[in-house]
Amino acid sequence: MGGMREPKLQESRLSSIWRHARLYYWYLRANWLSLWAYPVPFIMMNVAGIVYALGSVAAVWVLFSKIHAIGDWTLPEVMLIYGLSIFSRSLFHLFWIELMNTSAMVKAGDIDRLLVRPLNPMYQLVAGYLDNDDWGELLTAVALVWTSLGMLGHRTVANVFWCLLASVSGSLIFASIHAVCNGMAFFTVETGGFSQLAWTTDEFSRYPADIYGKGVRALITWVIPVAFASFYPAQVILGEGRLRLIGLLSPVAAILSFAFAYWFWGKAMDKYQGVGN
Amino acid sequence: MKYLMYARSEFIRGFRYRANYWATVISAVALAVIQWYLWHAAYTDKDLIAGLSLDQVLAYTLIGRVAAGFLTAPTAALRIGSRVRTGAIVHDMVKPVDLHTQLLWQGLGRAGFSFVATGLPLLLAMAALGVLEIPSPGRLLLFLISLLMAYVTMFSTSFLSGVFTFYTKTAVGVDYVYTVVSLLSGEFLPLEFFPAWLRTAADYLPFKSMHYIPMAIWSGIAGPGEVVPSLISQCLWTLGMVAVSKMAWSGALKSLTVQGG
Repeated sequence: MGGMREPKLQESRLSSIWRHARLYYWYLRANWLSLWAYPVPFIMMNVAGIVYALGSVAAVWVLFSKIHAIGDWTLPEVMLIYGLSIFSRSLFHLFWIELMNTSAMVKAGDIDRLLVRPLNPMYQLVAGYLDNDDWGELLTAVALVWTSLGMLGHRTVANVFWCLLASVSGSLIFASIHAVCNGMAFFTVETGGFSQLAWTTDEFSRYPADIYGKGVRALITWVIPVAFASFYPAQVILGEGRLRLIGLLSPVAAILSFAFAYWFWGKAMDKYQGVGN
Repeated sequence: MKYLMYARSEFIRGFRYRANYWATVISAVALAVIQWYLWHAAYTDKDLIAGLSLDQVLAYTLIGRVAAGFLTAPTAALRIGSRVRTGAIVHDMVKPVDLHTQLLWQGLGRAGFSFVATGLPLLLAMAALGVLEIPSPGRLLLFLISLLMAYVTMFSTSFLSGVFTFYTKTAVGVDYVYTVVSLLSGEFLPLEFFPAWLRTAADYLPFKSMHYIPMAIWSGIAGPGEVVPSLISQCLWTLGMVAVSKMAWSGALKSLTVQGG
């Protein structure tokens, strides 16, 4: 069909992106309203979510009741890194969680539904759902970043904006990792273990990346770039020289890793065969 | 014995999902690696923290990672509330078995698989690398007994939280605040690190029977004189939690209404 071009259906890449972006507003609006269909369970669940997030933050606080530093990092510095890590993670969790559904959709043949619509398949998957149970962690993360910036004496407008940008870019890194792990569903169908592995990688972003040995540090910088979700962006505020420069490149790292993950997911989807008749 | 069959079938079922196996092993290794580096960094300029040496804390947290798969709460126990809502619970009730005991044995089967498949290889690898030292046979035996009791306590707590959601008719159960339970059980770090008031609270709660006691026995954090008393208190908590969860369940059954037919 290579020669048959139908000009009316052609759309420039730019206007296609614009169309997807405009539509995203309507997806978000519908998803947000559906979260509030049952407000009491929604609020209760997320208050419990704050307690859940604070439970793991408390472990760091308890540790610092007995020591003054992890490696070279003091409590507010570790809090900032930890805060950026769970900020990125919760943004990923809330907005991208449907990636985890890939395996189930492949099993049920539901990918067909994404393929027949005139919208990007991964976009439909991700935009179609906004998660209901991680808003508590998001609030905790915001509070943690805000507090640690204050304790460090670095709570400037520029730094607050940088933390926001860094968290969005960090969520894109987590999304890339999960897209690759769940994209495996097109090859192996069952992905529970890969998906669990993807969730484990974020643990590496909770503590300063330089406490790890050279090998692990190279791994979380170049291969599974979770260090760009928390440690390096924090260096823009805490560090100087080369580290600070690497930190400023975090959004670039996020875009590159997402470009790869998107390419992989698309290639993997070409293997999709559908089920039944 | 019929309950043993439940455990056996769950144990065998574990072997069916081989594709995911390596991913699970890599996750377990990754979490152990994080703990190893984290504690080395915490001990950079100190020999003792809260009276514990680096070796003791490493033994405590690494054996904790080995046991983590074994000590994972089975989702079946947490879903009692939803089985009541959907009415699926009648299928459990017509069977001539006690639900708590049945789910416990099924859970043990699955936990046993997880221990053999991921915990044991991790343990052997760390022992071979000299990262984790295996204690004397006597301590090892006491550790295993304690670990088994930890499972029963952990299971009963999850079961109780499942029954609790049945009473409250909401989805929010103890599993939503599970990190707090994990913290108080000593899963994140040994109870010695706690400020005094939190340590007192943890000592009076059943959660330390779910993690701290077996790991303290393995790592030697529990001195020779402390092992027996802590095993006795763990045993009492285990029996107590089993009794409470069975009572809560039979109480729930009395007020159970299943709609439709």
